[in-house]
Amino acid sequence: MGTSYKYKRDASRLFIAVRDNGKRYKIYIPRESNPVIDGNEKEIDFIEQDDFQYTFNFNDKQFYCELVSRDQNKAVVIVNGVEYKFSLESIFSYVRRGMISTGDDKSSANNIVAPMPGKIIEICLHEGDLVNAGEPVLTLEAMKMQNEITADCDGVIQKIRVNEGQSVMKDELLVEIQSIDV
Amino acid sequence: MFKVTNNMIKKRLLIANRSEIAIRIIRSAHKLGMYAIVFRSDKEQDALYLKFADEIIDAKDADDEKPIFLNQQKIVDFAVQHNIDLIHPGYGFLSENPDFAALCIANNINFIGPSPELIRDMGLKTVAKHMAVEAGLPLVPGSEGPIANAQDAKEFADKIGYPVILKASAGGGGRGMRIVEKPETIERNFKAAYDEALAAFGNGDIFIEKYLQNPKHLEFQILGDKHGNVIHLGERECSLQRKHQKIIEEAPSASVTSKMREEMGAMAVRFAQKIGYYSAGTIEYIMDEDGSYYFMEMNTRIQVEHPVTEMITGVDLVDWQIKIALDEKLTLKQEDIKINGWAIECRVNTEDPQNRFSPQTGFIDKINFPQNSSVRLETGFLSGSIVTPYFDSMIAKIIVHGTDREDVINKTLNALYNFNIIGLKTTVPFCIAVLKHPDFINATYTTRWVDKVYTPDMLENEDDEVIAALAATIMYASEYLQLQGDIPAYKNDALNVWVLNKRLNY
Amino acid sequence: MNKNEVFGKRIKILQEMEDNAVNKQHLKGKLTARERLNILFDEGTFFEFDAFVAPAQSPVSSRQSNFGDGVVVGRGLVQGKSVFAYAQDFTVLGGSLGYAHGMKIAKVQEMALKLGSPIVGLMDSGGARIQEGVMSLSAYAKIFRNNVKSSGIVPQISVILGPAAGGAVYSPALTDFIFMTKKTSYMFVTGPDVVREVLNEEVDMDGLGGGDIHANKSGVAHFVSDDEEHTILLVRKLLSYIPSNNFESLPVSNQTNYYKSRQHFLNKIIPDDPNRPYDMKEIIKIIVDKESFFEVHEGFAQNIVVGFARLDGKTIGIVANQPKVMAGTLDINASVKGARFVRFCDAFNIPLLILEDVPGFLPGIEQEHNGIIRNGAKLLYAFCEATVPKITVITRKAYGGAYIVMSSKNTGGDFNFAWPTAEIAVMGPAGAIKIVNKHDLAKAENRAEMEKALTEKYKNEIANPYKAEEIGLIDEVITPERTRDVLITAFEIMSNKQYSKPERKHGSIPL
Repeated sequence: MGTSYKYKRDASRLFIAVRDNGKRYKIYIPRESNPVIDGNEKEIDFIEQDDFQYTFNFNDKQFYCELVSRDQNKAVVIVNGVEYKFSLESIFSYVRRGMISTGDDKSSANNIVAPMPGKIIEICLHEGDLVNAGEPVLTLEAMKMQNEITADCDGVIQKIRVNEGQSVMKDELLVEIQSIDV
Repeated sequence: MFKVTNNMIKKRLLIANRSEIAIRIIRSAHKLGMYAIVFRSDKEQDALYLKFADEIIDAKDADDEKPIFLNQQKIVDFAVQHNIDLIHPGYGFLSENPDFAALCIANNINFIGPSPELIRDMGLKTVAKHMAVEAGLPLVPGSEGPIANAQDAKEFADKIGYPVILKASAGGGGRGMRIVEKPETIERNFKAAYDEALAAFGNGDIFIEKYLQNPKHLEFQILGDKHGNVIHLGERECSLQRKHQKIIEEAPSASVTSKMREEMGAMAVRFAQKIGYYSAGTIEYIMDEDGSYYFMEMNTRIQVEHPVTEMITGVDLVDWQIKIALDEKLTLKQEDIKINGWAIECRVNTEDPQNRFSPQTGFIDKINFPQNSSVRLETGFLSGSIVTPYFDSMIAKIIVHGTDREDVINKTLNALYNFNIIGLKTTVPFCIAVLKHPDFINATYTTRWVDKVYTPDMLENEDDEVIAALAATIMYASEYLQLQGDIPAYKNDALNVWVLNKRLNY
Repeated sequence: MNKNEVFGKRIKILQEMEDNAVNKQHLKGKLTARERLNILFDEGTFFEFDAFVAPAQSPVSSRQSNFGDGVVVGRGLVQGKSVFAYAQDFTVLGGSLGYAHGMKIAKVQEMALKLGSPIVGLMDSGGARIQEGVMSLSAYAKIFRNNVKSSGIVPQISVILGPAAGGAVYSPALTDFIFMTKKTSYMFVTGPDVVREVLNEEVDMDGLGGGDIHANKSGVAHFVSDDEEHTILLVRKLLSYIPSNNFESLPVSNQTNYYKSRQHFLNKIIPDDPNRPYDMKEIIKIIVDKESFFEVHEGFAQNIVVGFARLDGKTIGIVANQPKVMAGTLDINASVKGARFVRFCDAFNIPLLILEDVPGFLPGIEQEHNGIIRNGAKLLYAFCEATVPKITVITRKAYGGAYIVMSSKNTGGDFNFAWPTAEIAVMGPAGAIKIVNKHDLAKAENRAEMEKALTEKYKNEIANPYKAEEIGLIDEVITPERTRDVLITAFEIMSNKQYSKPERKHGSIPL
């Protein structure tokens, strides 16, 4: 389950890189497959890393990156002679910072509520996990049928409100998901 | 082929210059069977060019006001001390200083270049222009001499048409210079220019010229010997400039037809012959948007961009400079000069094109230059070199040859893509952006292009940005994830007996 | 209710409180106390206790919604190391410190001391609980007392993630390192409202005592970060450099990479012109293990640079003059910043590397009237008092009193090295020749020429490192590219240094 999904479980590998001109990139660096950038898996090969630079291969071109500096979460990188400045956040701190500056609740929680009364048979994920849109989160048994309840967005499981074996009513809050479309 | 004449002893050639041009001149010196001697400046003790020379003179210029390359007396004293036969001044520094040339000659050292008189005359813009008129070259419409007063200025301006430029006779650098667009402001500007020139140069003489808004900069290479033979080797276009500093040059120019080349070339030769010029020199023209061209000035030295001419004509200009200095006759005839293909030169300056080309100094961790059969590289710096603030920021030149203009643009782009430097920013991304721009491809660019059209975000592209974001993220993530992780990046030493003891007895 | 029901009900209430907290704090862009602790500690290692402590002096009915009395305490592992922590909970009674709350904190402090573990305080509190009056103040007093009892025995770290006002600021002030965030944390003794009333000065919380103010101006905060998560991760980073207590040996990292190809740049990094500045941090980054330099107090007194780093995996503390700022002179703030850091390193057995390029103390009325004398003396005292291995490298200038202060040989420096570009003298050539050769210069025909000649003479005969090397005050003049290797050897030689301290309660450091 989940091998065809681009986001693997670990939410701590999801970062938002914001350029000094405001442009945002959502970058997911899985342990063992291609990075996912803005929702698309990109075939980028990491060729080499030595003292000062990374070399990547992408679209049949070589990219030489010089790592100029990193100060806490601000990084300056030079690619092919041109400098780009980024500010980096984990997905959590990014959402949190958005809230401080605007002061309102941008939590855009995509909650999963029970579509009908039934019993929770299986919970597939844990709090803190990354989930892909369309991925099953839990199984609800209702009217003698097993229903897969899926996430409707790419996100992080914030809170699982129910337990396996629990009976729930229609519209009861089951799972809170924080969307990563920020 | 150069034949060693009467004198079988190898000649000693001193190069009063540094960096890539010193290496270039050493190459010619060696080709011609001479010893190449250079200076080591205290400000650049580990410079690359030192490795190519046969002998190095320690200049001991640490405490001098200026580096050795600008110290006429010291250069000549060392030259005499070290039995130097010829001095090549390169470009910049003292190469167009008539006093220096005279000093060399007075000390029996062969100065590779024209005579001090020629240098001096061509250094005075008014003299050069006067000579040009006599040789029948067109000049930018303007006053022959200084303008007497603001009223005359207005009359002249009305005659030649706005916009006009007021220039100081006695000096340059923008002082005493005013561009006047509207008739209402001419008198005010004249007074201002006059006052400024008087203050800056002690001479308030102002002359007036038509101001070309979008000119192209063309220059013709000439070679002349001491026996009156002069030829031209075609033109170079150097319109890609920023604040009068050239960054990209090409030969030939797409704006010059073969007919024009004949005309302008013949004029250049005529001019050189009229003044009795010998050695290598360059006649500069300025070309207006309607194709009309005018003489600007003459440079009496080998120029930075000489390689593009060499690539398309197959002629070694520095070799010839040396041979001419030794009284050799020019064996090349005008008919022998054929233009073969196209060449582009990109100057690699350590300047930041994202930040108004501000100069960068520091350490070059690594530098990889493109290498293939169509690329000629002239560099004064390699991996591990240090760029100091004492000298100018050009560290290398990448010159590429192709079969035609389209071909050479593609080859140059490929070469630039294969260039890589770690440690300093350079003008290479800027050159790439220029070579991809329609204004360059269509050869409609002018000397105003960098100021008017170029913006730093031309250097960026989407793929590069994505990779940059990824690299930045990986850089951040590796520390972030390590900090977050449970696996300590360290271990605690086993108890040191001493510590244990202390703990027991403290 | 039977016992099981009571048990279950308490847990449920706690869960509700936590949910409530999540909503409230997240709205302000902040984290809850438990979330913060979970970032601080390795996953799953946080062991909480005293979660159900009730506020003192409160009616029974309200007790149940205030479990914990506004602070969460416990122990967890930070990269395998045992660490105690407390996190104040702003959502319970405003995080205000009541007696029970204070006693919980005192409890973890005492445990940390008993076990020789570091203690981290995550503060987010409205201050003393007015309803509890003097009881609340006495709880603070106990906490402060514990801070002092543990000082120099276990590392104490304060992370300010919300307001800290009035008396509450004194606990952090007594701890070793203070972390703050920009825009969401504040420290001041009297708040803007009172300031406005009493002095008519108009200022907001951020301008009076926000993260930037304390990091850059007052020097109260050692680290400041944009976001809570980053701040807490920085605490983890700090803990990876320092021991858990003053008897434990220093952590050794298994990453010992360094910039091998850049070592020769050190030969050229000092400009020829003695008046041109350079960035000392560049030198530091080349010498130490790759990316291991962790600067402390970065925004404050930037004319001196202090921080931790690793050499061959082993932690060292660095104190270095910064020629790029104020020519690297020592002033009041720099002396105090340096002294504080030196004493922390000494307390926890962290060897010191001193990189010196100092032309002297900053002159001026402001410095003199504000006590450069007694503040400069703090740095001198700290170096003399420190018994950890102290290794100095003089890169360029080392003049006068400042030379003595920066851990010179006779103040107790273990190894003192110098680069060939070093100039060690009572004062620089310009000033010296005006005094020593006053008469010659007055009589000179060509004064400028004579000055030049005398300066040359001064440099050759007096202000050079070889003179000091001959006397033994400099152990060796080394080529800059060898610096890293020499230092690794020198620290290794001094690693078992022992020094007996005289019998006294403690010295009288000028304050």
